[in-house]
Amino acid sequence: MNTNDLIALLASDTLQPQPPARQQLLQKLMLGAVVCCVLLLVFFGMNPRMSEMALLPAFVTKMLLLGALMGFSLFGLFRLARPGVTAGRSLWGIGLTLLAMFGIGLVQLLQTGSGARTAQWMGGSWQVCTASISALSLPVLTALLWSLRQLAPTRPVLSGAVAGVLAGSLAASIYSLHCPETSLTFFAVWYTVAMALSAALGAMLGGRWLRW
Amino acid sequence: MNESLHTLEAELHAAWMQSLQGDHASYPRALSLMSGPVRRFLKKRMQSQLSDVEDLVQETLMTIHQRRHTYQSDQPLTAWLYAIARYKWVDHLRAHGRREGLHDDIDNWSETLSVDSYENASDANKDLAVMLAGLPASQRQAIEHTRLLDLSITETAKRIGQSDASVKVNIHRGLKTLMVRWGTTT
Repeated sequence: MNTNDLIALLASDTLQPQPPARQQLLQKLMLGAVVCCVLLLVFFGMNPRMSEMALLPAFVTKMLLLGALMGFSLFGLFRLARPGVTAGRSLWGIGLTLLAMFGIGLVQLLQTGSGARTAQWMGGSWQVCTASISALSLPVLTALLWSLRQLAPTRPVLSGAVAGVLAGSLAASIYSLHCPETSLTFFAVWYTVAMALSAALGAMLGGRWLRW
Repeated sequence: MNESLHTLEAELHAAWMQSLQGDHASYPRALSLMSGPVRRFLKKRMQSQLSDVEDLVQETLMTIHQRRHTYQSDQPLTAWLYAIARYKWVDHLRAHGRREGLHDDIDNWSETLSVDSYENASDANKDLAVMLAGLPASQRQAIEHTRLLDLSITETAKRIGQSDASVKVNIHRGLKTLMVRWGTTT
C-alpha cells in the first residue's frame, strides 16, 4: 500500500484513542489491589491484634518504607510506559528505599542481644511470609502487565521488573495486615526476598509479553 | 536541540495537538509531517535493506496511530516519535537478524565473481586452443563451429563440407576424446 493511502486510512479511523497511560495503569493497579485484598481476607484473615499493631513504630516504619517503594515504582511505571521518556529518578528512589530498609534492619539486628538474633531475623513465620507475599503479588503483577500491553514500553524487561516491584510492595503492604511479625530485620530480609522474586518474574514476563 | 529539530518539533507539535483536540483535517497532515523524519531516521539505519524502509515507515505510522494515547502533551513530540521509530527498527532487526545473517548479497561479491581482467579471459582461450589442437581436424572444426561460434549443425556442415550426420558424429567423438583426456568423470 502507498504510504499516503495508509495515512488516509488511519485518519478515517473513528475510534476514540484509549485513555492516557496514567489512568490505565491506575485502574489496573486498583483492580489488582482489590483482588489482592479479597485473597488476603479469604485465605489469611486480618491480624486480630491489628489495632495494637498499627500503633507500633516498627509497623509504621514498615508501612512508610513500603509506601515509598510503591510510590517510586508507580512513578517509574508511568514514565516507562511511554516512548521517549526515561525511568528518571524512580530507580534511584527504589534503590535508596531498599538501602534504608537494609540499614534499619541491620541496626535493629545489632541492637539485639546475641542470643536472640536468630529469632530477630528468622521470626516465627519466615517459611510462609515470602511465599504468601509472592502469591499475593501475582494478581497485581498480571493486572499491571496487562495494562502495559496497551501502552508502549520501549524497555520491556525493565518495565516488567518495575511492575514487579510495584506488585510486590503492594502485596507486601496488604500482607502486613495479616503478618504477626514486629521485627524490622525480619521485614528487611523476607519481604525483600518476596519483592525481588516478583520483580524477577515481572522482568521475565515483561521480556516476552510486552511486545507491541 | 539544534535549529532544524526545533522547527520540526514546533511544526509537528502544533499539528498533532490540533488533531488530538478534534480537528480531523489536521490529523492526516500531522501523520504525513511525521512520516518524513521517520523515513529519514530509518533510511539512515537500514542502508543494506532499503527495500524494507517503506514497510517499516508504514508500520511505525500505524503504531503511532494505535498508541497515540501514550503521548503526553508536556513531552517533546519528536522524542516520542523517534522512540517509537527506534523501537520498530530494533524489533525489525531482531526479527530479521537471524535470516539476514545467512543472507549474503551477491553485490558484495561482484569483484570476486566477475572475470575481472583481460588476462584471465585470454588464459582460458589459450587453454581451450591447446585442448582442441589435440583433436583430428574434422572433429575440431565441428566443435569450434557449433560450440564456440554458436552455429547450427546445418550451417556448420555447409561451411566445413561435411554432412549433417557426420558433423554430429564428429562433435560427439571429439567431446568424448576431450572428456577422456582432460575431463573428470561427471
